[in-house]
Amino acid sequence: MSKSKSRADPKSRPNIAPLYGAAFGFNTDRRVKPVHFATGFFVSLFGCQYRTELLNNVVAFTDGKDLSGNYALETLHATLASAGKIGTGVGPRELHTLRRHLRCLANNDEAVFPIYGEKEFGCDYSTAAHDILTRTRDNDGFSGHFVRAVLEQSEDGRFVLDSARVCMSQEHAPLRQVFQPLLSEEPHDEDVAERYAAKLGELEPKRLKRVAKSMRRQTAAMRTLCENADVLVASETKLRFLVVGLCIWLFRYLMEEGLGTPGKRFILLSDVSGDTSPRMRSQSVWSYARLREALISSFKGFHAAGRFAECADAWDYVGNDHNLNGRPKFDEFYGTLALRSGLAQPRASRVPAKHFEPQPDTLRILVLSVPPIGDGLVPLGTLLDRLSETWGLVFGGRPEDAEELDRLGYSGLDQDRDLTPNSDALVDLLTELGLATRFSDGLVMCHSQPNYSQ
Amino acid sequence: MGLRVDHALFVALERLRQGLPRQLLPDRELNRLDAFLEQLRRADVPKTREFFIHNHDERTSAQVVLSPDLGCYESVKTP
Repeated sequence: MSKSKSRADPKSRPNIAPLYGAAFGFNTDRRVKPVHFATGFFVSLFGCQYRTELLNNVVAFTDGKDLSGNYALETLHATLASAGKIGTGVGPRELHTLRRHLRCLANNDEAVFPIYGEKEFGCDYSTAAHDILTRTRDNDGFSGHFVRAVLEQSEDGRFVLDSARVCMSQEHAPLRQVFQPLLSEEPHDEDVAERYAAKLGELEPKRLKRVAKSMRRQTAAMRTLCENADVLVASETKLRFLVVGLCIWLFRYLMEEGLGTPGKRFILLSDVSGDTSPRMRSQSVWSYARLREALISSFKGFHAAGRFAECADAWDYVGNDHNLNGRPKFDEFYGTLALRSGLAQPRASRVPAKHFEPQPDTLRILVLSVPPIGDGLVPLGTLLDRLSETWGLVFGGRPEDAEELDRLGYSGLDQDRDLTPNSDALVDLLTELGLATRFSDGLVMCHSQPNYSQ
Repeated sequence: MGLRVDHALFVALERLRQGLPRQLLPDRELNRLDAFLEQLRRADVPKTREFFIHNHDERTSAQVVLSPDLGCYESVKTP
């Protein structure tokens, strides 16, 4: 009787956040897009944020909606004019044109909302520079802070963090310059660690060291990615590589933490054959769903290991609540991370069956994270080994893949009709990206430095 | 730094000029263009006060000029 009463009475609902903190170290009960992750990560990294009220007033608006307060065009024009932020040649009409064009730069992931004097719904600008960082809500569920804290534990991780600081502090970054009149100068200190502890519990150094150790291969890959990006791409692209790379690191961490049982292996079976092989596609769909279910089940493993001792009421609630039905909230986090980092497809919500298929930009990031640029040409087999060992991606192009897939339960895949065509499609994609060359004898070599001259 | 414009790339550029969305171009041409643009962006970008912003969704562009100290928007024009 008391149990059924507690189900019906929302006031008796225990705080679930510490359960998520004890499980993976951050809240997995929400959709975390890369832009949310980036804001949390960089605010934790710099230990401060900026108010950016004027920037928000200018770029956070919706077409066709009546704007009020500081967001109304006439009010905004008067405010900017009196503050000397617009010249006499910029009237309301020009200001509206300016808003529409600055908005597409600051809000290209539609995560910017009016937050000053309006209903607050969070604000995550497309990250361009440290003084455009604004945190109003922890939309990332503290995943950014968690990753930052783990990276602090190793030399490779600290290298990645240093690269991130440099990336965000470019004096002449075009986006930073074009926003300059709207940026406030004084930062507001942010004690993310304290906020984290208050919501999720203490993040123990011992735990961070353990995670850093289990993720050392992926952290070294992130360092390689930063080193390659420093030589190969422009500053904005470096930042994109870094954020997408860290999201993939986070996805891989879920597997290491939730399923890291010795002798047990989970893979991301990737179908890049473009819907030409129904078996390959269905097995890749199964790979996606199987991994998600295994990760949700890992909460039971955490419980059995005693991780939820200090939040037993939350675990009981998850088990007894008829809405949750024993499933902690995880699906949306998993799906958003996989889809938005470009590991899985399709993004359309009307298609529930997702499969692993790295998108070209994500594939470029994955490939550039495994061979150091000094490696020159790398045989395809070596690249596939590194992608599998580091990120868990399997394309069916290695001699041992067929046997391993069969052992892991991916049955019915034919080498000639499924796996070889899939790996051929991968080579075609790598070639189009300038990352592979097929020589006259059929040998495929991959480039650690993209080659577009063919 | 240079960009070798062969026939395929010329056709791709012409299609872009006529309004074909870039994602519909062949990947090979897109990658060559991106690599070239990447190199341009890697070159030292001096501090500037004149910007061209393209709004991809609305297919409009604006020329924005800032004051020398970057503290004020002096003019906003649509070409």
